[in-house]
Amino acid sequence: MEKEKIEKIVLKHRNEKSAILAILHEVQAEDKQLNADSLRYIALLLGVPYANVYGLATFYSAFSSDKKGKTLVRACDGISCHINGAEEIIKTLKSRLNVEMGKTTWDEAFSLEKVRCLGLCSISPNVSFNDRIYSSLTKEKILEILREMTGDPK
Amino acid sequence: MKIKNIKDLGRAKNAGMKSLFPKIPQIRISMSTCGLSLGADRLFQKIIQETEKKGIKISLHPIGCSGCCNLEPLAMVRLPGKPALLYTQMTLEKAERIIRDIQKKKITKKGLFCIIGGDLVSGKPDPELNDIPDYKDIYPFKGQQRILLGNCGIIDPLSVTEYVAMEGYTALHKALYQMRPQEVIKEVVESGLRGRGGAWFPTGFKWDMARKSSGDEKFVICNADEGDPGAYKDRTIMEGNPFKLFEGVVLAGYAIGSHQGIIYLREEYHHTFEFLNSAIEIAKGYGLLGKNILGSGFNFSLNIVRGGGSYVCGEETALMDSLEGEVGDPRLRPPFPIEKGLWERPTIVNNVETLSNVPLIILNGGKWYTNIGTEKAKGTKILSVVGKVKRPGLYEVPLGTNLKHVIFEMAGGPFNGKSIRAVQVGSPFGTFIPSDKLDITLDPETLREIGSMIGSGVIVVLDQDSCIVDILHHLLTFFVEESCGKCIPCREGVSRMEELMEEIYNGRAGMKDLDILNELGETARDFSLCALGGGAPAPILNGIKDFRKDFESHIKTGKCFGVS
Repeated sequence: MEKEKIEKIVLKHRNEKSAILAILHEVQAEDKQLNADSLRYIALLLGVPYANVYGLATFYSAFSSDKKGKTLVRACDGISCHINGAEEIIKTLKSRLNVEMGKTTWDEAFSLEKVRCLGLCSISPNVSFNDRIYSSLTKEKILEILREMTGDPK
Repeated sequence: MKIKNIKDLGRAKNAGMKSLFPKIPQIRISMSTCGLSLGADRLFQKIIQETEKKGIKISLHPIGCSGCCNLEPLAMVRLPGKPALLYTQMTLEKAERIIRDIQKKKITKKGLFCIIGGDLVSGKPDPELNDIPDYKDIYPFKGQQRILLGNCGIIDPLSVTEYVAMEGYTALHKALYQMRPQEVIKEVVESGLRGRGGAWFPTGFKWDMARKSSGDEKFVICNADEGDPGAYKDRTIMEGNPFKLFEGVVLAGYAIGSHQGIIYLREEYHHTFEFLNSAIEIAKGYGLLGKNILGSGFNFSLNIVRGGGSYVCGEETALMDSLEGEVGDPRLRPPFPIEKGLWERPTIVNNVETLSNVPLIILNGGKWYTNIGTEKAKGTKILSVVGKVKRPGLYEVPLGTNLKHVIFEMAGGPFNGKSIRAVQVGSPFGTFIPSDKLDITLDPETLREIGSMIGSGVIVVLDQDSCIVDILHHLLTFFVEESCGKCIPCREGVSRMEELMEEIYNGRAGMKDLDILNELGETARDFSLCALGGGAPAPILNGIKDFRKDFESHIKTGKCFGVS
């Protein structure tokens, strides 16, 4: 990401004590990734060792150094979703998007991730597409949503 | 408008009452994360369009979730002078019908679920509604004691005045003007309130120690890293009644002598993050956060920090590491956070549900609170009943409520004529209780006797089609992913357990492997650094004992027990 953009985000949080997580969240949201160059520059601006920033970016599951697709698909695999058929939903997502768990489609349109609970446990299973969550899913419903999202009538 | 004194509070209350009981027809739509995921935003837009098209003036507000997400989207509808009515599983068609009827000044009977009457949003009884049950007489609300959730799904969660109309901020006013911090703590101690995040530590005791800790800078951390899969009570409180939580946080700050609070929110709650930020700005605007709160001279700032999607950061010392910009590694205790917490300053970490109890305790007195619950366990607990039951959802019940009653009566028991196999109570660390042992009361002591806990209140119900080995393996994959990797018993031990469980599930293990699984479990349980590695083995160890047939079936045939 351009240095100016990173500077802007870091400056925005300059008066906060617990700023680094927020900075990483915002840089990733804008750049769809946290690559080594961005992390190094964040470390430099904050005056902390690069190793620390790199450690954070790899420890927390919300952060990734791989470039994410335009739509981040997060399939919930919490216990309630698991009991109510998350496995089939995940299988359908993988095969229809033609992507492995944790990976991005070739055209960078979708990234598929697993999360442990989106917190909508009495209307499981759930999948989120960026900030929109879909609940009470069945195989048919998820296929319908994917048809809408991909524009592929299959 | 700033609320600076008791008169302003009275004015806000009047404004809130007007907003709650408008002179024109009223529609309220539940717009929490759960409502939105089922299309509440489209519903809201549709209502705006329809009423504008027809030229009908209505009072339209969003509300939070009442805990029964499976009935979402909900609509609360009220004609002037009539009781409020609740409609469930709303569709655009249902909304059109209701609006048509509003135009005719008529009550829509079709699809009407219940009357929201009683002490909440009452109106004059209506003979036309004689055959419609009151919410107190119909499940999922029947049998609940909703001291925390009561206003969720009734008030507009971003309306300070509506919250004030429901006695909000009366406790904070009372504390700031009439009570010394020690007196606040005394009430909390007397109430017997304990930590609702799972640790069950006496809240008043923690506050008292933090108050006595020396240092001019202290922190109040609200733990909103609701990580237990199956739990969503904190989200429901935060999205349904955020000012109650803020009031509790400020009361905690006043009690221990802190001027800074942080809500550590889990990463997965995207909507909640935006929502809480708006709520904080609104509270600041009213002078309920920031400088000179309620005109009392007391200052308290509150901000939200989003986590990074790590379960272990729900553990208080790992949480503080995370706030300090480190990876979330649990620290050795002592020193305890009340002496050396965040940035080595005295700190209290309390759960969302715990803090939300505090305004009630200050308003009504600690003694009042002791009337709820059992002799030893005081107050209510929000249970999150999920899995194979007819009515999954949140149930706020007094501690000491019978588990079987909650599952079979309140949540409706299993569906499709199936039978219940096992129930996990408390958290992912809770043991699976076989179906013939469910006739117990929900309080920490009783649960401890059977190796379980009340935890964060998750109740996972499995029916006859569920395989215990599969569920336990699934649990272990969760623990392996979430282990921070700092100590060996958890990092290596729990990983080996997961591998073994996979072998067992696939029929590639022998009966001797159960002994190894046991030994690994006992080692991780006894020697892990924090509660993650220490707690992970419990459901497995108990599972081997209570559901041996499931394990044997997988080992010998590679198939689930009961499947031929």
